[in-house]
Amino acid sequence: MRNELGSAALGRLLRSIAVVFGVVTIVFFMSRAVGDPISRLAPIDSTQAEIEQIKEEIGLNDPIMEQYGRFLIDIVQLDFGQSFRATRPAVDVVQERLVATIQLGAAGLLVAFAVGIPLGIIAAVRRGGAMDLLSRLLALFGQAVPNFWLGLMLILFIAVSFDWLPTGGRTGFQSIILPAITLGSFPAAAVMRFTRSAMLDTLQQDYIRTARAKGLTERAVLFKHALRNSMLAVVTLLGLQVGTILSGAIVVETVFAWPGLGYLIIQSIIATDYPVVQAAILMTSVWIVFVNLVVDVSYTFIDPRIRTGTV
Amino acid sequence: MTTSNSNYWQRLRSGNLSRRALLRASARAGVGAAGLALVGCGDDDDDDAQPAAAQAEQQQQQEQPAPRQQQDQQQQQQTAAQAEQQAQVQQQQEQQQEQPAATSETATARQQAAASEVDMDAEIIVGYGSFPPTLDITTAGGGGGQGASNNLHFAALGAYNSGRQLQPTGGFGDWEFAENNSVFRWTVKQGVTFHNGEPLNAEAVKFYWERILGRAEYNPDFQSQLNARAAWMGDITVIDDYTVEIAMDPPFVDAAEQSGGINFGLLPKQYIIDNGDDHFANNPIGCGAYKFISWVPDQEIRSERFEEFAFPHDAPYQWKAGWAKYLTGRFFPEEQARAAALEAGEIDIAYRISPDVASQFEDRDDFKVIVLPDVRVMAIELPVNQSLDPLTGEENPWRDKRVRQAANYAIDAEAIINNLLTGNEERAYSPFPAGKPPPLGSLERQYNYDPDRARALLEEAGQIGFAFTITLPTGLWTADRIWMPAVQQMLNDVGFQVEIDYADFGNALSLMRNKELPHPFIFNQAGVSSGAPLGPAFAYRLVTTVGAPYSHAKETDEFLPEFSEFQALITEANAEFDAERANDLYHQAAIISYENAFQVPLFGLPHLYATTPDIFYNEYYDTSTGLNPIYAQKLRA
Repeated sequence: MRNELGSAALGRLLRSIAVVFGVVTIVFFMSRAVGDPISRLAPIDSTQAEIEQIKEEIGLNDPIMEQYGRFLIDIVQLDFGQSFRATRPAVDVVQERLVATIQLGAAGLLVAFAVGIPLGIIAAVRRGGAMDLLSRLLALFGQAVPNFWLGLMLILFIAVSFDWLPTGGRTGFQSIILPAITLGSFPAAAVMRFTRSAMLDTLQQDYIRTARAKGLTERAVLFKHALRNSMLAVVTLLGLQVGTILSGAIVVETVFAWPGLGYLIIQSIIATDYPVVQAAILMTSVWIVFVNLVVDVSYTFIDPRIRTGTV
Repeated sequence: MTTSNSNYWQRLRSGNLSRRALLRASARAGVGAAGLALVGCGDDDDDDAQPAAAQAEQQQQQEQPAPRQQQDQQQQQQTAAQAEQQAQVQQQQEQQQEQPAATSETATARQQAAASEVDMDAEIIVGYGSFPPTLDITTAGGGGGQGASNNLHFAALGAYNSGRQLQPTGGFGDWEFAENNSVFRWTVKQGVTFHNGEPLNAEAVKFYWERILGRAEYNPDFQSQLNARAAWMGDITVIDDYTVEIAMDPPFVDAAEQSGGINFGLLPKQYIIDNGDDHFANNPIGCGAYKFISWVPDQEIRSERFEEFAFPHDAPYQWKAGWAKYLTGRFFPEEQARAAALEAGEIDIAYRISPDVASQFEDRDDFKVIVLPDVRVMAIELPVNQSLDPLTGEENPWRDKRVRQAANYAIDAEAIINNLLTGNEERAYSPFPAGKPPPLGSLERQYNYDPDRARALLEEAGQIGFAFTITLPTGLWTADRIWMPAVQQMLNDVGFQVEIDYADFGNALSLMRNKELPHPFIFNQAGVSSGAPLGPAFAYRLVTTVGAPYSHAKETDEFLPEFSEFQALITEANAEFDAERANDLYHQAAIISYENAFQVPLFGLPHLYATTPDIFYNEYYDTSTGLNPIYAQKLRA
């Protein structure tokens, strides 16, 4: 049994590495397809000779496959080269922002699960009631409203009209509240729907009826038996939502002036700063792959049947 | 305070806006916000300008008959106490003016009296839409957001006057061509120190050029974005403590700009050698009006007034002491969020906003909008020298003067300005920046809107239905996707068939540079130069001419006779050391260009800023950055 689990984990790990390799390859070629960094790097009145000089200095005159081969060798050593804009190692530039984005992403996920799971449980338990309707409306709102608009409205009302929280920046605990709500609104809706659906499914199972027949309190039935069995679907969603959160962070960081990875990627794409784009996307993809790997492994702990091989 | 044409351009406004209107505008801007989230916000490039007594300045403005000058009503409605103070200041000034010869003491007294209105201990917080990726001025080229750092912390050897003419004397150094134009000499101002106390001398100047060129011994691998600009420099020799010479072979007419212009910020030699380039890029030391305190990338830059700055508030040229004790730049890439931060009182100045956002603050008592012109003129560059039309393979219709004139007559730029833009833009008739004395004499306004004449010319040329594409580089120029469709429609209305290629900015520039855009494209003509009538770095170095980076013209083209004449004048002017003579040549060339309609000049786009009412700004130096917070004054409550 242990060998089977080990080989499954190894297989999953190899697939993850293949995914990351695919991502970096696509990013390498796509980033070169979208533009020429020289137009941003060189002063606006540079002559063609001056442009050629800059290109030569940063290696853009080499054949593309030579650049790609050099790139693959370098990234194994975590050397992404110098940022064209910041003129220092790209990996340093990205690392500075990664913390801010993980902080915001974690806060967004916290909002999503702190709001989504209770609402999902209430909606399932009070199926067809007012709370169910309200929860579903909130879910609809959360999934329908674009996060840049929600962010601007929160700034307008919470920060400007009532002056309760800052409009933006990363200046302390207060400054993360509005971006976290904005970022978490979409996944919160998804979490709520998944939780509701899974709970409804679970609550109809025979073992729930048995638990009630044994005289367990409703709280014990709900939280010990129904919720735990519903969590598999919700945990699966966690892995999916990490990607959603990170992509949503691009817009949210822009709106709230949050100095994270999302905004850095946008700036670097605009400036065709290949090294930073490559480093940022590689780190992001590694992060997403890692979380999904953890989610896969966590199944074995949440559902003993997976661990024992009965499903 | 030196009075200059700068005042002509400044308009301060005030007004009202309800919360509902702001909400409406925010909702309406939703799509725009999404776009901004994807493309980022406005950029800012190089440099600067001058202040003085706020109230006295107002009076000077009132006395000026300059057209379109609008007074800030908010300023005029000061509190009773302020009015009393103002009267005292004016009285002092009048008394001083009556004196036959004002001594330096009275000038200082006037300055102190005026300064009493200004809160010299204030902190001014500016919300920027772009931030620099590095704080080393020599590596930040093209990165954007220079207004938040470079303009504050660094100063260059040369000083510009209000027309962006680099002055031979009066800056951090005096320059001259010597030895039959084989040597370019700078004499450094004595007694100047960097923020860390290191002296500015000839050795420091030599070091910073050699660092740019990769010749400095401490790090020959250092790469600067300015090395291409400095490539003309031969051997650099220190003559004495304050004199340094650059060998030139061949003589380089633009040597002053490309060694002591605004992009060449002076740097402390020993500090860089001791601490290294990476440290310097995060902890800059210059000799600018403000010294660096702290930086959080893409979040905040804090600076403090440099009390030992080499020039006073009323220095005649660009370099002047700062007013506020502290300047803090905060980064708000989304402009609605920047506007909200101003509304919430988190910032004092919202930097570079769009006309739509500016309208939220117009006519309000609690805010004002500052409008400063860009030095650039938007224009359609026409491919006049290619013999064949790239689409049809037939003769290029743009070689027919009537077709080019038709395009000029077809566009109602005034209507675009008044109905789609802010109304503050200036109609352009040449590549000279809006507001500059027109170089075209009686030819001015020849091509005012006349659709009937445009259609007639097109018919006469047999080109009704002439189909072509215009490439518009998007994402940097104000309201580009708003005014461009109007230009398209106006051209189509007279008989052209125009498609617009809304291109990524960087890609479009790259195609232009590679001469891979055979059809018309939009460009802002003055670029890094102001096109000031006597400025050495003239607009035609950037556009239209052979060798210019954003021009259709190539050596191998089949030139129109008129273009050959035009080109000969530009070539001669570009190599002319006598500024007056060069200026005459540029003017002659501009007239040829205008008569032959080589371009379709449109308008100069303004830079818009919203501020709290206690911010007074009355400086306009003819540069591309626009508002420089060094000159911003926070008035006492």
